[in-house]
Amino acid sequence: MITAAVRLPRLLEPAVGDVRRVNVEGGTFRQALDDLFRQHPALRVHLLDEQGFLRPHVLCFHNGEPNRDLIDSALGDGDEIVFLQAVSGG
Amino acid sequence: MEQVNHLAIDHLGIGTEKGAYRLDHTGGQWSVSGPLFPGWKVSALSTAPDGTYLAAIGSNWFGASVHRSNDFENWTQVEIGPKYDGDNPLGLKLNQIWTFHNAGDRVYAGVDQAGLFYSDDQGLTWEGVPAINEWPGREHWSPGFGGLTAHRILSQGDRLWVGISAVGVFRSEDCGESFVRADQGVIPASEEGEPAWCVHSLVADRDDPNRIWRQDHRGVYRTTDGGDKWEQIENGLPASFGFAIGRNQETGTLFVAPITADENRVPVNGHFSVFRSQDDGDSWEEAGVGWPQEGHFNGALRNAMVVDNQGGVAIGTTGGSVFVTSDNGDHWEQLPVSLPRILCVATI
Repeated sequence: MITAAVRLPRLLEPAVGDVRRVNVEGGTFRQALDDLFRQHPALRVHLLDEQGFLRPHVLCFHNGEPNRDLIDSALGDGDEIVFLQAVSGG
Repeated sequence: MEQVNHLAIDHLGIGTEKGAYRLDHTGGQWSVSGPLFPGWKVSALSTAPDGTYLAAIGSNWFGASVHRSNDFENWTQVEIGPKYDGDNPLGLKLNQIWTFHNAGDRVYAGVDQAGLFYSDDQGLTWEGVPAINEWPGREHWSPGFGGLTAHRILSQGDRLWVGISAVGVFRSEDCGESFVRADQGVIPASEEGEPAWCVHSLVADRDDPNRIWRQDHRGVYRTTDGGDKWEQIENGLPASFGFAIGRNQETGTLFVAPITADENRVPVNGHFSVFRSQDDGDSWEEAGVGWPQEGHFNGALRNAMVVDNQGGVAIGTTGGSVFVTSDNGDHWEQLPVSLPRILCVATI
């Protein structure tokens, strides 16, 4: 089984406590997200809207490449998926 | 021994643009603690029927959620919160949760984009109310400056009132199975196309819920028939615009916080204060003493006033100030805090 890591920003503490890194399993990027939401169901509403799209001011990177559209792709062992809040707000 | 009167107003939860804060009045001193949910908008604070604390949070980045606590310190996010179905035909999204309301053992939540949800398990799981969330023609609803938001809920038995900006008041006689509009007599905020009313807040007489008072975009109103007909009641107010309205259910005293005008949302002449009525809104006067005389240009939002029915009132401003009274508005004290923009105030 392929294992990847998801890194989360501190602002998501109300949903996941002090968890900043989650090891996820799956053969593809979307399967990795499914595993993330299985382990931390409270995260889904914060990252995705009702229609399943990434929220407008949230960024997602897969091995350093932006993937705001959450396009599925093959997952490699040791891959890193990063969620960040955009540099916006007040 | 000196008798100490413990008031509900002595323990406040304050939701702000940047976290929630707790204010406690003990031993004659006020203390502040927090923030809870640092960095998050805390848009509603409440207590469920069984005593569980509820908090609604959202942020500029991440979605809105409901959190529960037994001690107001340790919070857990609910996993099945208010949420529109992903395949809803209008593509509705839940942006913020703006109010909680207890109706017997049920808790309602009003949200942006305008919708109504309920929980029958103390806020743990939530379901939508189709009669509002799927209201025919809602695609023509327009938002107010604060969004398209269901922000005020009243109830008595099977009856329910929901205030939505900038749409109006909806009344149900069957626990939310169906609703009728209830704005007759209120000047519409917009008469272009289908009239729209921008209700800002509502408060009812606990003992006669047909008597409702309304701070509206277009003034202060009351009804004695549950909303079939409203009349304007602004005698003595320095301005008819405002957001918050509250009522001491023991004395019947009403409280509002006037703001100059829609296009100039600051207190009149920089003099922030609460006005009160002791005759059901026939007349208003500035409530007591203790207000800053000038230089205070922040108003109060709709959820930023709480009235505890023991003579206590607390009101928070968009500038982060908090004013309290423990004698039904005769004397006010500005608390020694300066918080972020205050969105809601609750007794805890």
